[in-house]
Amino acid sequence: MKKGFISILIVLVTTILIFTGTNLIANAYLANQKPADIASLPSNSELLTVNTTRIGSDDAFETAVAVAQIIYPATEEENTPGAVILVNINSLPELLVAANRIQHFPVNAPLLYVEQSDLPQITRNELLRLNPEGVPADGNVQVYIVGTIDASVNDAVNELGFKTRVLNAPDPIQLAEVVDNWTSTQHGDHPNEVAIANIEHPEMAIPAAYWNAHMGQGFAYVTSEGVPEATKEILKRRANGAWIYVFGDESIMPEHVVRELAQYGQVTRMPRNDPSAISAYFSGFKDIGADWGAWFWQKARDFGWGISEAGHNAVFVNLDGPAGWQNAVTATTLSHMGKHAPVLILNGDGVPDSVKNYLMVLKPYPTDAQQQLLNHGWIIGGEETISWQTQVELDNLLEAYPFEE
Amino acid sequence: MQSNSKTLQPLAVVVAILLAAILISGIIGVPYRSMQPPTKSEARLHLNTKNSTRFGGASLEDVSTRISTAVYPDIQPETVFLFDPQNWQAGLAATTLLRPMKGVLLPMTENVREEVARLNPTRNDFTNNGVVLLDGVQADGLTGENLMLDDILGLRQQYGLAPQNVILVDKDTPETALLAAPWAAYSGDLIIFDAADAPTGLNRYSLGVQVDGFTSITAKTPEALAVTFAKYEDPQNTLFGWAFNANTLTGYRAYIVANPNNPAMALAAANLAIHGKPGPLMWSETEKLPAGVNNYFWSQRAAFWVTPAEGPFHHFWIIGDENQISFKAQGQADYAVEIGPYFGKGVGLSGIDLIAVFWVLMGMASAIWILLHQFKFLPKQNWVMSLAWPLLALLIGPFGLLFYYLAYRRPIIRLPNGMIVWDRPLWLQGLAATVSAVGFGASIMITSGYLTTFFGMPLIPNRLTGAFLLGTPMILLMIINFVVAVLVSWLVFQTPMMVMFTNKPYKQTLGKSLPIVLISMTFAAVGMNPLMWYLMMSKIPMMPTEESILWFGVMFFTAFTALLAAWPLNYVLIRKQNKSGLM
Repeated sequence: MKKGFISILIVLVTTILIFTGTNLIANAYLANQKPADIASLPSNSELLTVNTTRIGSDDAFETAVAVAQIIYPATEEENTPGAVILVNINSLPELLVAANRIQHFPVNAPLLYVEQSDLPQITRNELLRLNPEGVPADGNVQVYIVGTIDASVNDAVNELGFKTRVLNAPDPIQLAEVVDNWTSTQHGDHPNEVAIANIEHPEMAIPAAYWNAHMGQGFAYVTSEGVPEATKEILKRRANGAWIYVFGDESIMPEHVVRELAQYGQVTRMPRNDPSAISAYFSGFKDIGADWGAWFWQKARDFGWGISEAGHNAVFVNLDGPAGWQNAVTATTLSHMGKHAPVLILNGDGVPDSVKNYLMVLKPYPTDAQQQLLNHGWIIGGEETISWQTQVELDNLLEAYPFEE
Repeated sequence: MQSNSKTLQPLAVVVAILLAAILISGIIGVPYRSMQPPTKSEARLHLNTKNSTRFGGASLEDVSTRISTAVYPDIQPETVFLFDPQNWQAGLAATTLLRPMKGVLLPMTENVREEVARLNPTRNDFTNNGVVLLDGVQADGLTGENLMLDDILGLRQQYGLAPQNVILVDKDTPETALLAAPWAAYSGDLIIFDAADAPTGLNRYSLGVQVDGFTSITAKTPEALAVTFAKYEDPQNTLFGWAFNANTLTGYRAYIVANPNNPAMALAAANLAIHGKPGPLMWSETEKLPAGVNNYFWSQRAAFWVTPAEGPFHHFWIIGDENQISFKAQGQADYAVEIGPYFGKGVGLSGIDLIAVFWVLMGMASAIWILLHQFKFLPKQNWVMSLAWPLLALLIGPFGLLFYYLAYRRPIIRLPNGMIVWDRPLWLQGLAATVSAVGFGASIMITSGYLTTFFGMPLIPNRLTGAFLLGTPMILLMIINFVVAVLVSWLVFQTPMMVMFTNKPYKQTLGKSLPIVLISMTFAAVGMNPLMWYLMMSKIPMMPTEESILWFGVMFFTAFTALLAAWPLNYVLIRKQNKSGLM
């Protein structure tokens, strides 16, 4: 008996020693300094309505940070991201690859902007605030550096005490292949649903980035000339053939390209030719059905939000604002967590008809308090990007309990 | 000859202690981390989150202006009701008029006329400029119609549908009385402070006070009363009460979270119940949510069945700046209602988490019991087995004690060399042999898995057709675990045990024991890994890491399935006399 108690005591003491040791090691992953205080954005606390929240400003660096902050309070372990993705603010095609293929679980990361050779102060500060935990399914990497970003940025991030992984390729088409290979290895699976963008019209595929931040499926580029080698590689890797979703009508995605793509799987087109119309079309789009199966297992394909009733949310962005597309693709994290919303793209004139008509489909209505369905909208950018008037118009479109006029 | 095997005993004991200590330290890390206080907000551009909006501002005026802007961003209200912040009773009584008279309730503050000018109320029947002054409030530079408390009922009956219910509240206790405000604003029900004022014909409720003739809704504290009222539903009168309880799967929830120290500010938030996202008022301390409130929010956590985009989505209105409600408390609320899979729904711990906790605690208790029991009652037990049993029991939860009991409630045999063994039928010998194989094998594999996950699993991207899986972290983890388990088990545990039986030198035995270790470890791995893959990669969303109790639950449970898988193999090996199961 005495021996028994002694052995329990020894195990206990060893446990305490190891516990202390692991805590010390875990602390080594934390940033080596605190973030500096920053001035808050008045518009984000003042331009609020009961159905909308404004996030960010007319500066895309700032908006990316504001979005990361709305999703990740980083006050405790559960609301801290696994990693942070850094992308070059001047490359939409690279950014789309990062949002489509990296943000989702198990990485769980917001996107922040850098310049090709500079880690801006605001981004650096947000890295320190977020203090990402590291992705266990990738060697506890804390920061992903994706696309054409100089080594000096990587060095600057390492200096803060973060472990990085660099994902890069000579061009965005090949980057999609490199990242597809990396993420498929991580999951032990190549998702068979693949979104396809024409690299000459990347803005048409912005809705795909929001979807994949939510779902983590495939993404690749074509050109107006045809299907590049790297993309063929991606499609060939799909074990059971691919389910291919092209963003744009014939003027965006020529018919001969679609025919070429169809050699690799079933092609479904989002047949619209402006980003707003594509975003509204795709928010209601859903493709489900066969993917692969065997006698002991079946897996259905599932691509598109398919939202066509009250009780949903939307991320509102404007490609025509002063920060252009840069401000419009910062908010994919809002599809990944929280209210899991698709993007609806506005234009310089406010709310286009395509978006307005779609919102009429989503319009909630008064019921009993217990059973109410509610909508919420995220307004991305400052007042130059989306005006207060437009925000109020959207608020009315999302409203469940309108006043009798 | 026995001394030959004894030379490795200290090393084996140290390894066994390390295995147990690493696993237990990982397990206690789970509650330890969840008890860490949240850190404070810093370096933020705003104080909103994915599930909450904060109406901040340092002063009552800032907060109430932001709320009225949110509710009436462009639509003009018909009526503005002004109340003296010291006289919250007047404002509370007027909430019944907000919807019928399309109104907004504002505290009388220094520059309130600027907000009144922006709102530009349109009513000209009861008042000629849309402004109503409650209970004689004095308003600098503002004129309007006076409305005394006694006249509210009469006015209410002129507008909208007749009220159905009346709520009696305590006029001296704002932290219970104000809980009625959002409901009255949403429903148009009446609020009274004196039972004698209750009009006939209405359903009578009392909130926070026990009164004869009224259906009383009470609780021990104001925070608890807020929870009780939020959940309240009257089966006789289903139109009364928020009924934000567990009896619904799809209702969207909104909650106003305010600090009870500031009644006027909490009252101004009642405007949020007339438009947009109506919901009840909940109380919070400045630093953190009261435990009862936090638990209630968890019970309302949104659950999805197919995809997290399906809803429901809940939202909080956080009233005041961080001196009222800290960002930490906001973060708590935000996380509590974050939409998650139905499979993982529960208060803090989901059902599947609870199973994991039960399994792990049973394992620890069994291991301690076996440790004490074997040293007292089985002094002649072989030292390798005395390490294997507690290690295995730690992993296999409720089954460790059962197997231990089956294995040792047997007659003793004294072997010619002085060893003591137990007379067991073949199936039980198979179990005992499996216990030593899996006790060491699985505990080494899981410890190796824990350490590898802790330091980050390797990921090796490659383009080999079909073989890309070899670079997958989970697969690499399985390979690492297998190799480590074979090596340690072979060198430290299984060979010495075989030496005891064959009485041959350690080095000569190595060659003979390797194939046996390989075979039984392969069976154990086959028993563990596919289930681990299934549970972690597809069944449990978001793939648990070594920081979650589910990780230990899954790993320990797969150790049990490994035992079941290796048992028939050991039975066969024992029949063929390749192995012994008598120790």
